[in-house]
Amino acid sequence: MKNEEAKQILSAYRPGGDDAADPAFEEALEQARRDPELAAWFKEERRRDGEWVRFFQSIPVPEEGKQALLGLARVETAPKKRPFWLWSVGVAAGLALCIGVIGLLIPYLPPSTDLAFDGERSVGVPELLQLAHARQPFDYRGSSVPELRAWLVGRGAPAPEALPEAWGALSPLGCRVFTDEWGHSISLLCLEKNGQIVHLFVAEGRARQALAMAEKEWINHSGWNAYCWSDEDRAYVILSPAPADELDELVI
Amino acid sequence: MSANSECNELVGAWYSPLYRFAFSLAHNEEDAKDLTQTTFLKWATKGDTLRERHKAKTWLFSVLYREFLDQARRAKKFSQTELVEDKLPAAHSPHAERRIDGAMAVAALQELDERFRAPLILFYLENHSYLEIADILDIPIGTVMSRLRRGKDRLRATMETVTESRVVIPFPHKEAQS
Repeated sequence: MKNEEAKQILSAYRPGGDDAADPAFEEALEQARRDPELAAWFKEERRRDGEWVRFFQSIPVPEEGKQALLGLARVETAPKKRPFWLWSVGVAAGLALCIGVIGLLIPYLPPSTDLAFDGERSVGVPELLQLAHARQPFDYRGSSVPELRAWLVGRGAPAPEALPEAWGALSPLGCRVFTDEWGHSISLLCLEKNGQIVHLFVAEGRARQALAMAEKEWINHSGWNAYCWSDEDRAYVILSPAPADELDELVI
Repeated sequence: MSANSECNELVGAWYSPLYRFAFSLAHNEEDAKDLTQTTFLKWATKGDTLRERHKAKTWLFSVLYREFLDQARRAKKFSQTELVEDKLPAAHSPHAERRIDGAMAVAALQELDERFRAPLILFYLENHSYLEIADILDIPIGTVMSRLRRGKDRLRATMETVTESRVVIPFPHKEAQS
């Protein structure tokens, strides 16, 4: 092999040395070990390659672009190949439940302004989605469910009393509190499970009526799964794009 | 793994390398963002057709490159190598530990023919092997090696001829991110 041919092959030899075991480079590498001129050329080649690698690594990357895509994936990537009839039934059931409980929808405002819910009326999955997607900062960011709970309790907002142990494995993001004009509140805790968002709405007192929907059955709406349960004092709703069978461990 | 979590995982793993690839091709932050976003949106709509899931990285880079070529053809940008203010990485950035002058490097890259530029960028970005480059650009392995060699030679020659008279533009004021 002539040195020019060896140089062409070694030009494709990666700076990190990942090609050391690739037979395609074996002969050229061996020649570089034996030929001082080629060895010097190869050494200089790798030095320059290293500089270019560092240059490309130094190109700044706008983080907001990545975050926008991550948010988009959460909201818009609906499960694929779901039969249309199943989707239709899910939406119809969700809508019927929303309308059937009390019949009036929450008067929510555009995301750029203060969101509110009306504790005298019901809140269905579409409205909860609206609340969850409000482009508002969290009222509080915490690193654990107990920490979020403590913050909610501290400000007199509805807080989960008892949750399945599986909640401890989720990554908390933060929480918000929505309050209507009569002072009824619904708390929203946002967490991540395997890269997917999980919202937990908690209401107590009169506001728990607002979360009244069919209990203990999964409702699918626009790719989001919702599940409601309640105890004597509180109503809870989980809302997540994650598959229902992956969320089962989070519900009571 | 669900489509959502897979997509999130891919964005987490490949957004930065893809953006850098796009920026190196387009020399323009906005175009680079658009190209990167378009690539992931194509994944969201067509990614499920990829049977060999381990080839997602190659698929993404390949889609971005083809999208860049399409846009460039539409805009007839080929052979236009003018430096545009506020769009280039730059000269003496305090943020980067590199010995290559940023603006000179970008200017030199712009001078390169597209045939040599894309393989070189892929070679230096994310440690792409010649096999992966061949896959992404859809060219034979021998052509990859030949273009890498000639591209490096031309890049060095161009670096030597790019003079201070070229417009020198500062980096966007952001920390380099991995």
